Amino acid sequence: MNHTHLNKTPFLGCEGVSVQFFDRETPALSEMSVSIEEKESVLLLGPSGSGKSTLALVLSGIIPRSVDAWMKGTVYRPDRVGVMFQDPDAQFCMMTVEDEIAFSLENRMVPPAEMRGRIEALMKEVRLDVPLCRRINELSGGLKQRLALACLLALEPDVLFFDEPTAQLDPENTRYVLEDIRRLHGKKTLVLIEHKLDGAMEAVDRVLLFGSQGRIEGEGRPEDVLRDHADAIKRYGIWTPRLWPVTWPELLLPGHELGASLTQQAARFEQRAVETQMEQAVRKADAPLLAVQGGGLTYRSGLRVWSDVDVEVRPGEWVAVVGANGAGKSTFLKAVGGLHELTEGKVLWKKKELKSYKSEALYDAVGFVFQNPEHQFIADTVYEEVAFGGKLAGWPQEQVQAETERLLVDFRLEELRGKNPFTLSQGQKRRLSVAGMLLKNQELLLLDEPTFGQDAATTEELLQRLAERNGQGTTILMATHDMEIVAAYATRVLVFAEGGLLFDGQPQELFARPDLLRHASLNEPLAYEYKRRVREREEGAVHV
Amino acid sequence: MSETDSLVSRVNPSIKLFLHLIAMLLLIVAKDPVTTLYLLAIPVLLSLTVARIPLKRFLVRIAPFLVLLATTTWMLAAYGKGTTVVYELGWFRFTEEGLSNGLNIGFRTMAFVSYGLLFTETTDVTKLVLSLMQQCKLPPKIAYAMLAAFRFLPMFKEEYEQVKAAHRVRGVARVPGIRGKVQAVLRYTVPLLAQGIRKAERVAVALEARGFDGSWNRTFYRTVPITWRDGVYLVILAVLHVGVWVLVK
Repeated sequence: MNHTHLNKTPFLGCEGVSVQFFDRETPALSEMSVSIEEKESVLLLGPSGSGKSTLALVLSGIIPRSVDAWMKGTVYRPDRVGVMFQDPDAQFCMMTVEDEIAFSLENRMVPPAEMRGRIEALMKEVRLDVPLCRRINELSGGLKQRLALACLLALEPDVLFFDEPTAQLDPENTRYVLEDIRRLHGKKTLVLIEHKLDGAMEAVDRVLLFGSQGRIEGEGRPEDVLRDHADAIKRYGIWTPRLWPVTWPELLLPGHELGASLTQQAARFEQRAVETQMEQAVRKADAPLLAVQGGGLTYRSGLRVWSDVDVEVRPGEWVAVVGANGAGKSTFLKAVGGLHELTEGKVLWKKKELKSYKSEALYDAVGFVFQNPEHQFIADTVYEEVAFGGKLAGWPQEQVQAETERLLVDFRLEELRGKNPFTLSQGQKRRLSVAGMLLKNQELLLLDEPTFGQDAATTEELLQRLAERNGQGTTILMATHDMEIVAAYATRVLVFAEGGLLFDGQPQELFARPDLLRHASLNEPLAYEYKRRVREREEGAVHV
Repeated sequence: MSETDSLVSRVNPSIKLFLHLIAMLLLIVAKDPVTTLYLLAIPVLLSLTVARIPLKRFLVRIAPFLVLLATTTWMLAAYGKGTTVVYELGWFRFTEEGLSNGLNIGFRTMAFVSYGLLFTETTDVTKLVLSLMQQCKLPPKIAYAMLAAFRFLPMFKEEYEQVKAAHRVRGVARVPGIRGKVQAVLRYTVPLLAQGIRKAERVAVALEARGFDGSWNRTFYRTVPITWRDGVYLVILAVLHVGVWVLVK
């Protein structure tokens, strides 16, 4: 009888919902009203901490059922929903693929006799082409997310939520997941939170743009929101699709606005390439800072990561280390940083074997920024975290203070100085972990995917700071998946693939070889791709 | 825990656990080293025959405990009370009573370890937990939490290595003084705990979101039944124990 009060009950939605977590001073959502139709696909876009995840948790019923929070308002939801989370490892409880999907079916009290058939059908549906008894920890991150999807589809949900499903995946595995989402578009109701929008936008009908303070700032068709709120999106540091809604055929038409700016960018890269080439030629005369000779690494399990690696790094270089997940990028950084011993060959630091250095001496000259910022946190406050190295080295107090202050300002951490590092947001943690490593002005800085999972603003800022250091002479070795960064910043690229060093040279040489990129499953930077396609089209036209 | 394909690996895990516990109780009752040695032979024999654990693997697994055997025996034998002196070496006085006691405890420990090894080498952890639910009525809430935790063990180790490396770069161990050293160790635990708690929370939320409510309102894809093999295993153990009893009588 309540139905008479509402003109229409939404298929999925909420009315006047406010949520506040008990450990926060401000609400995560305030007076939010959302209505989503059946089979509609909605993208929640916004800066980190704007309440996107909270809304997804409320709509899926996880708040207040599984997560404690103060909440008011009404939520409308069909009975069955499924949620995919960002951590591929933290969604499972069984050892094998088969048992994990069965777990979903068991919860729904499906008769055991029916299960085998259903499990096989589900695996086929999500294209998880592995044996039933495959152990989950042997799957790549992308395949784990495919398994997670199979487990959700086993619940026969009316709505699927995706809460940053690709946040912890490399480009190749990201493609798997986005492919799955595109396939579900139009078949299920989808609520998507995603930062990597290339390949995701095609599966979106409507965008809700979150501002700060848990409110919706704009909504509408994706192309309209991206256009009408372009300033806010830039201000919030939200990633935008590289190309979408523009398609390649459109872009290749003469006189396209984006085409013109890409041509400019390509010209800048070319200019850079020429300068880099000259710099590198000059550097050739310098003694190498770091050298790997006949380097090889085999794990105790017998798994060979790479072998026959010969690399020399000279002062002032910015070397990007790229390759698919598992190709051994991190291991390479650890090996040259003295954190993982080689099983073959040797590493030389300033012509002397790395092993012969004491760790104090070595880490006064070499800094290492780890993939997970938390791993390196050792102090109780942000200030102490940055000052730690200086205090330990016995610097005079004034010097410690002056240098620390400068870094806190540079990395916009001055207002957080008294906070515990573990309580910071993801972007703040990353900035702090880099700031803490820069205090001693090390000659060599090793960075393991420092921009991974960061928003556009933090990424830009971090790269600026690193470029400054590099300009002052700091040598940088950085593992990354982002080829745009490689194109714009690196003076040299090392490509790891197939158990070895597949390529060692300047970025423009790498990007001139699309075959090699495909081989190592690397993306082509947009400007390079544009130039290549324009060239191919012109050549095609000539042939005709 | 892993699983070799053998008779013992097909025995119901709960039954196996129960039988092994009884065998261990009998070991506690045995008072002289000869009986204990015979009893020790039982799990060793079973491991190498019906359990089909390769000899090399068995030796590798048991080797660390041999040191334990040697030290306990030595300690008890050399410092034990007793009147009949067998041998004297400096201030070590080996008495018959001490030696007997030492060997008994040493063999008993080895036998415990062997039963443990026999169990873990032939039992799949998923089957064990399923069996604990199906035969011993362990609540699903606890059972699946155990399985989820088990999945985290290798991850935890990896995480620990990472933190150790990161702290080495930062020079945590260089902080002078005993207090500094203690703090260095404590500092490992913070990121590990933070990560562990967060992962555990995430898993709990994810499993609940998949319709798990911790209750018995569920079906089981795999049942771990009680079969004739359990009877066979019981008989083998019984016969061997009776054999030992006859031998020492």
